Amino acid sequence: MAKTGRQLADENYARWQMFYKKGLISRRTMLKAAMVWAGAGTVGSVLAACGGDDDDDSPGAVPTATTAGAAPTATTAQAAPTNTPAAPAMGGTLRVALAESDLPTMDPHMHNLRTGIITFYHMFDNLGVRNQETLVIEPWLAESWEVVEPTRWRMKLREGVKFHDGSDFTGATVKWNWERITNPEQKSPQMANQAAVAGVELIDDYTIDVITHNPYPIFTERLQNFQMISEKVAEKGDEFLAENPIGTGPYKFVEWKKGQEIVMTANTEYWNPDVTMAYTDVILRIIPGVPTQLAELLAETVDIIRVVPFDQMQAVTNSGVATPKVQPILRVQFVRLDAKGRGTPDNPFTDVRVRNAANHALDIDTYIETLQAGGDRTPAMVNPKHFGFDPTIEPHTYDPDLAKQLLAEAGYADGFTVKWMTGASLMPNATQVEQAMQRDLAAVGINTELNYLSDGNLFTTLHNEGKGDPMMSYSWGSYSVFDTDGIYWDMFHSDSIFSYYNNPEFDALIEEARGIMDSEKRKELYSQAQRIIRDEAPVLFMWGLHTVWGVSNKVDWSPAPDEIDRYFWAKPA
Amino acid sequence: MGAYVVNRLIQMFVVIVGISVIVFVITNMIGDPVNVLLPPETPYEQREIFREQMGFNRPLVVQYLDFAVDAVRGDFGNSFRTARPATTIVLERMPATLLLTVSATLVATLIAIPMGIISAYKRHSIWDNLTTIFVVTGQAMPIFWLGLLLIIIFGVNLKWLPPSGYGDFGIERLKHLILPMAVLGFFLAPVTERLVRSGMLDALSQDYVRTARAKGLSERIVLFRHALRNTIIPVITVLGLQFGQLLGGAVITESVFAWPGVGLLAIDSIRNSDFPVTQAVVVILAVLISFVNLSVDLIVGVLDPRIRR
Repeated sequence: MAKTGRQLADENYARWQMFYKKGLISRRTMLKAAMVWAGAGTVGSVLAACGGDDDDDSPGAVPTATTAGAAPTATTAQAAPTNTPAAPAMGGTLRVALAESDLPTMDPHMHNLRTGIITFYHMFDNLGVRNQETLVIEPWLAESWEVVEPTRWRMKLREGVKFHDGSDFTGATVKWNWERITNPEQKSPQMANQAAVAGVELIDDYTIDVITHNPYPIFTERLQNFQMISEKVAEKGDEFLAENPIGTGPYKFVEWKKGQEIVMTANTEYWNPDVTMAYTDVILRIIPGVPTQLAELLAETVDIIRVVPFDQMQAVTNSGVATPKVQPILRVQFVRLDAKGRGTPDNPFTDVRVRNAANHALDIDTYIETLQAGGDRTPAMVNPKHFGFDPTIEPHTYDPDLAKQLLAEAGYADGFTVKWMTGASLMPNATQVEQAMQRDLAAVGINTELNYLSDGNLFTTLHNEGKGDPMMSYSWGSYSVFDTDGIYWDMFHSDSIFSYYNNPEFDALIEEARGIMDSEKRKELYSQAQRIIRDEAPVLFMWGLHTVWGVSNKVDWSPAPDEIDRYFWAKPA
Repeated sequence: MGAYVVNRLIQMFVVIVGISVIVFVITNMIGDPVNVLLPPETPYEQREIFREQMGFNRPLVVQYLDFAVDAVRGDFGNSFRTARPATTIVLERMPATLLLTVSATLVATLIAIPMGIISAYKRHSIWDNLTTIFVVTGQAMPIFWLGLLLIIIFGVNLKWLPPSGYGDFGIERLKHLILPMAVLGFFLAPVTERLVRSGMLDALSQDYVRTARAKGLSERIVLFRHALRNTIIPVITVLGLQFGQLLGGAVITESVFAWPGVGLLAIDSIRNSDFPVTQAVVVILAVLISFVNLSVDLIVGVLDPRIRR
């Protein structure tokens, strides 16, 4: 559709503004450009323009109304070819409150933060990404893959993909990326994610073989958080990469104002025509403090915030300018019990009857109903979203009488007192939930002393070094691996540093499931493993979390089940 | 005067060394740098090898001396989190903090001194009562609460000002500055106002003021040249102390308003166990605050010769 004069002027002005920010033109030239721009339309004084007035950038002020209604629903935008009309209008700025503290680096291999994954999903691409409906990993920068031998995956790569600096994406790129991330000298915090990969062989420019140490059924799961860096750009060194994210993604890096914001602009030459960006610029802001983020959302100076406290959901709805959006995620919340006496030898929870008693004491459904924005019960820790989840396994019933009886059998007819280590939580209303659990446990004779550690690193250190209390609040996001292996191995295998549980029979089952490619057989093995965990109850089973985003009513956008926000889905509402 | 300055410089040195020891010991007590630097799944043996390579197994005294020698050269090591020099990171954040604290101190002073004078001069009048209300409210309201309140009023409801952030250089920066500056200024002004008021009340009852009036000098000259000048010395001392406090204490204001200053950096680095940055923040602020205090003492010394002795 033809552009109006106003639109052309806006585009020109945006370009000048970018030149100015990059220091390519002087302030005087910028002022001239601003005057021309102000003259072309009716809004904005020169002064406001030169200061980059936020209001002029707000999505509502931008003439993109033509896309409304024609846009496909957010969740399908990435998954399947869309019915978007050709050359959709693009404009405006999407502003997101990304995080409470800044990213450590712009190098996608050198962090282990959720907010980093989200940021780099915009400027880089992965070999595979998760289909948001089937939750299965599908080819992205890869075109296809197949298992040619149990330890050899052949991958066809997409041709004609270019990095933002113009360099080509090829098999050599992929080989270099894997070699970098698995190199112990590189000290990538993501090294463990790719530990199964033994090497990469180039077949031709766009075909590679990836060799794994052992048969590795969850190989494709590891492709979705592994962003491809250009090996040509990397020649400039790690320090350059830490400041200059040059990827193949739908958005290009503009500026990183440390401690403030990351500015990106649409990559108009993006290789995938199915990804249609509606916003020219995306600004990811660092705003410490959820109350301030909330104020920004309600002031309409930010379009998306990633956390809305449970008790503020109604306020957001009532504001009329934004809506809370609830999304079930993979993260599982639970209270770990020291079942093998790792931190406290001979604590009451080393007795399986006591562990089951504690589980029967809890009224989980009521907590979910009254204190959460929703939750998926996890009878054996496995989230319904994990591959291998067995829906036939019944959760522990709320049965205080049975709990008392089990405690009496274990010799605790008069109850006992234990310490319960907790800390900052990703669960909404965590304190209230824990207090409710405390009360219900006390009702059957299990008295708990909450030991709140505000220092997250201290919590992790105590927990991982086996110095935790007999009860420990914990949650696990499975590193976004939607497979039972992603939670069972780290949480319960006796070799894992996170584990306070030891059962050789269980270990054998998950070891076997990790090393074979037959999905049906794996499901069967995980089903057996889940029955063991259900009956042995090494934790207080809680639920898969539902978290709440806040989205401006001017923006049509939904969060993703894998907790990786795609802002390139966003359209003006 | 020379001996006085040398004396003060020695005191300053002792203070800074003391603070650096404290921050070094505390950061090493609250966490193990190996846990921060290595991924959680690293086996025990590898941790110990790494500990030895990095010298974290040496006695704390030896590690401190190493740290101190480098720190004197302005080198606090590289951030655990970003691998950039800690000193650079702190200095990058300094302009934002200075802008906020200097402007807040200025605003507070400009409000407090006239208010103090008026309420002393018109004692027990409606103006005196109003300033008392202002003072009590200013001191009673927690900064974070006042900050959020202003954000809700001016950012969310009226939409006159941006709720948080730093803004681009220029008008935008000023717009973003107003709310945090007002909050800090509101917090600072009461102390100065009270000091000016009580000092003025005291001065106005002195013989020299009566004499000045008796000579037939105008009230303006009596107030500003005679009474205020004698009142201002303790005010300058307190302003200096307050400014020093603000440099380190703007933490809450910076968090509420997402103002990317040193306070926010301090919180971030503590939260992430980024010891080099934490140490750099504390020591650099200590040096800065010591210098501010020294300059205040020198200014007061110039104004009041009795102090130099």
